[in-house]
Amino acid sequence: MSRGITDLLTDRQLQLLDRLVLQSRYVVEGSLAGRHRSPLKGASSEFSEHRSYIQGDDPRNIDWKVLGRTDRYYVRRFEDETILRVYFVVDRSASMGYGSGPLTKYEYACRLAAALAYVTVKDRDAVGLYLYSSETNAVLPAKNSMSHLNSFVRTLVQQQPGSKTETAPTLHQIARSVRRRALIVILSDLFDDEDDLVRALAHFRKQRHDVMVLHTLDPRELDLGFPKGGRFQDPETGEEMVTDPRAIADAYREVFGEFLEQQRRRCRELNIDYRLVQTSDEPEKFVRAYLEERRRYA
Amino acid sequence: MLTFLHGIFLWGTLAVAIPLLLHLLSPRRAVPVPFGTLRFLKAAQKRSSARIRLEHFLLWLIRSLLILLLVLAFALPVLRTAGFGGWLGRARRDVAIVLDVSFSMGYATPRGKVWERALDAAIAIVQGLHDGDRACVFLADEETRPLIELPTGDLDLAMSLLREQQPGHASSDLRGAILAACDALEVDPEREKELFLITDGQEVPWRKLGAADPAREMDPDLKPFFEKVAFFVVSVGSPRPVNTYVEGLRVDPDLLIGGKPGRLVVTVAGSGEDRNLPVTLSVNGEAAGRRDVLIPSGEYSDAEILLPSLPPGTHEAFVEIPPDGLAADDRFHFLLHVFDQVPVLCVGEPSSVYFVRHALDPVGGESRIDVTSLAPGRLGEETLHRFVLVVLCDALPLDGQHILALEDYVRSGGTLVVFPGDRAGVSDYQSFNTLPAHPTRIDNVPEDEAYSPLFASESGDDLSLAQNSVSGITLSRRLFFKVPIENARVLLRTREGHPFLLARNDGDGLVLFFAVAADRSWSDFPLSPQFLPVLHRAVRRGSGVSRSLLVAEAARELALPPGTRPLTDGAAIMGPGGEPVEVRSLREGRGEIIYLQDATTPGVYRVGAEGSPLLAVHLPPGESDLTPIPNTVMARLIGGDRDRVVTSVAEMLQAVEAYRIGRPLAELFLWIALVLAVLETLLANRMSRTSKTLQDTIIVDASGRVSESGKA
Repeated sequence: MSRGITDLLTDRQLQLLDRLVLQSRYVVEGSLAGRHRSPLKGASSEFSEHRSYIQGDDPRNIDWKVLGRTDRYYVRRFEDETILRVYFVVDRSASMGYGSGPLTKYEYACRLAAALAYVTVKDRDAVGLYLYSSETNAVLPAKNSMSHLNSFVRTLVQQQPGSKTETAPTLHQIARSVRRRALIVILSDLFDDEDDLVRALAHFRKQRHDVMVLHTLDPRELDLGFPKGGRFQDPETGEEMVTDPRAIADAYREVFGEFLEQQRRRCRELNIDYRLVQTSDEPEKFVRAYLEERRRYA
Repeated sequence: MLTFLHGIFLWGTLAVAIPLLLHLLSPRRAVPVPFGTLRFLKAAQKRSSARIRLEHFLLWLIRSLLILLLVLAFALPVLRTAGFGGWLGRARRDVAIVLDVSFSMGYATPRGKVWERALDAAIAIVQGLHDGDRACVFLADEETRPLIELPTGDLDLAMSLLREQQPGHASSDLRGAILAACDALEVDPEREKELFLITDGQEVPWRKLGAADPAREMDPDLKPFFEKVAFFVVSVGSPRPVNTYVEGLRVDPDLLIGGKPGRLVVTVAGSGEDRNLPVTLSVNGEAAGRRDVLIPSGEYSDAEILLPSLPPGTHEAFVEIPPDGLAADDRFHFLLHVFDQVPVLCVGEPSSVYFVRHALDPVGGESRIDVTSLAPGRLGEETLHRFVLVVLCDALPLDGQHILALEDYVRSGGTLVVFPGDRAGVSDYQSFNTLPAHPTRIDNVPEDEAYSPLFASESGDDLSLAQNSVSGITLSRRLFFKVPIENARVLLRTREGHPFLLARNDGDGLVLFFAVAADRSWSDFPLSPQFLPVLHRAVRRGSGVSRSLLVAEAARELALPPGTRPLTDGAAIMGPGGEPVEVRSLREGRGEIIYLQDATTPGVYRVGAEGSPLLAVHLPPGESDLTPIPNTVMARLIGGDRDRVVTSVAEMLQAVEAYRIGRPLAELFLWIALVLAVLETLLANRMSRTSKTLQDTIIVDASGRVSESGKA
């Protein structure tokens, strides 16, 4: 019986995450007032800009001093502040079910998502969830309650990896469904067509979402550190291949290195925050380090 | 073309398929390994497939070759150049066999006789020849005996002649036989040439080839031949032969006189190991004495046996040691000639020989010395070899013919004592070549120097003279010698250092030359205490011609030694087995030398039908020393090829096969297999090495930020 956030994170881990804040690098749109900048000009006390008066503007915002100096009507605009809506897009394809250590990539991604969601909700921001494989399997709207967080975790835990990956179409679909600017956190191994994937990411950026890609990999996928050969099985396609990893280690390093470099470069070009996470890292340490850095650059 | 001595192992070549089978079966045995995606594995595999395929192919090739070489090595491959020869036309060969027929080849071991093994080897060599090949055979006896002098294609004849041979009774001249065989092989320069020396590995005959010199390489006379001839040594003798033999004997005194005691000194030598054995003496067919003697290995010991009192005459005798591996040398035959009286000839006028006669027979017949006096002019009437001692007392000048006869007497073992006198001047001595020195003048000694003690020099032991002053004599005249000639030595000197008595060994004999006359005209020496003993010692020493021991070494042509009783015309000589022995006389110089033909059988040779003994013949003792020569030394002396020195027929056939058809390749194959094993290890290690991974080339910080190694 799933209990919620404590299914994935221990009290100690939660305690470590308590004082952290997830900040968007861009302005976000929310329906509730919060601590994040909003593109809407509202009633906050922080001046933003002048704009020529048009019919319908609140006369209280006319800047009389400017009128006196220039004999023209300008209204003062003020920045709005709102809550952050964070959507976690978690890949639950079969390839995420691979793990050479105690955790599979999916389990690790769930822990990362839970940790970030906990930080988000604790800061009274809202979290939403898209769980996908070949299609979107579960959707949770963005809410900022702890009960919602528990539902968030239960949804993650209840789902297991097991199908083919269709990352790009799913991301397009998600991009279409999230209309207001938000922070999109994608947790996936990105084992999909690179061009389709980059187009999907660009779709998010086009809608002015702040996008964070947590490229989740197992250490074995990086170093191919198998002591001997074997019949390798692809969990998504069911294909098998007999090879000796030691014989192809050099070529694998080149191929996989090119793949990583391409993902990284394209994310950089799209101004997407790309991070490589390995299942051997401790989730709360990564989250702490990452959020600290994000806060410094916010 | 390859042939295999152990072809059964070739079934093992099937094992070459093992690496391929393992390779083919390996995918089925592969353990399933789940992985995130095969996408990158496939790309990597594709990218490195050419290299992997090459490495796998090389690995398969090396492993297959490794197994193949090991299997082939076990099958003992031999590269048969003859196979190519058969295609191109096989080379004809001439083979020379040098068979050692010395009597040491008769050595028997518990495993068989050396001679039989030698014959087996010789016949195996001939049997191993093909049509068109030829063989010649030389027997290495004391002289080289060609059995088949020029290479013949009649191999059956060669084998039948070889089967008829028996070991001889002499030593072997290996060097001469090898040279003769090499000459025979020179007949047809177009043919391949092989020379087989079949011997018992005894060191003695190899000494002529330089075995005693550790630095000696191949004999320079043989070297030009051996560049064209393949030389094999088949050493079929025992590696540790044990043999004891009588190396020699002597009688003391040299002259045995009837009724007088004497003793026999037998020198027994041995090779192989220390032995303690009895030496027994038989005279006239009866046991006459026995003595146990310890013979250390490689050394000799003397056994002294008292001779029984024998009547005058010639007695047949032999000493014997217990039987051993070489039976031919266990008995040593000899004749003992016991004199009734010792014949001595004094040449000179009665007044000159007076003191000598009385010194030799002072009490009238008791000394058993029979003195014959002869005037100088009648010297030709006597046979000098009948006398053990000839004393010239003022006998010069002599006719040249008599001087030559005296020189011949000395060289054949006689003892000559010369006293000067007033009859001869210094020039009369010049033509007498056997003298120790030629006098340059005759001195009249002044009165103040007349008395002089005589001093014996270090070499005075010829006559057992004491080395200090012996006594003094008074001189009035003397011969003055300036320079003694070769081999001469001064036995006695005067106080002033002038030579008084000189001696010289010439041939087998001895010449004593006094500086004063034998009468009182030149000195009072005839009255001195030394005169008598010196003469008696000269008699004892002078048994060289008519000595009591009559024995000679076996030989194809045995010259009768001086002192052998003269043969009458037409006298038949019978060998030890009663077979007639051919006699050949050869006039040499002034005398006649009688040769016995093929006197190689040890034993007593007799004269005529009555069978009176003439001479005893014994085997050459040097040949009985069976000390083996190391194979390494033999190899060095034949040019350094150790593989060509073999010790059995089987080894010989293998070596010949290896030479004729090429070398065995097993060792080469094993070396190549070793190299391949090293290569396999290196290649397999290279394929399984841990290469650099992505983790090593990129840096991922705690926040997941990626930077390349070195760009962080």
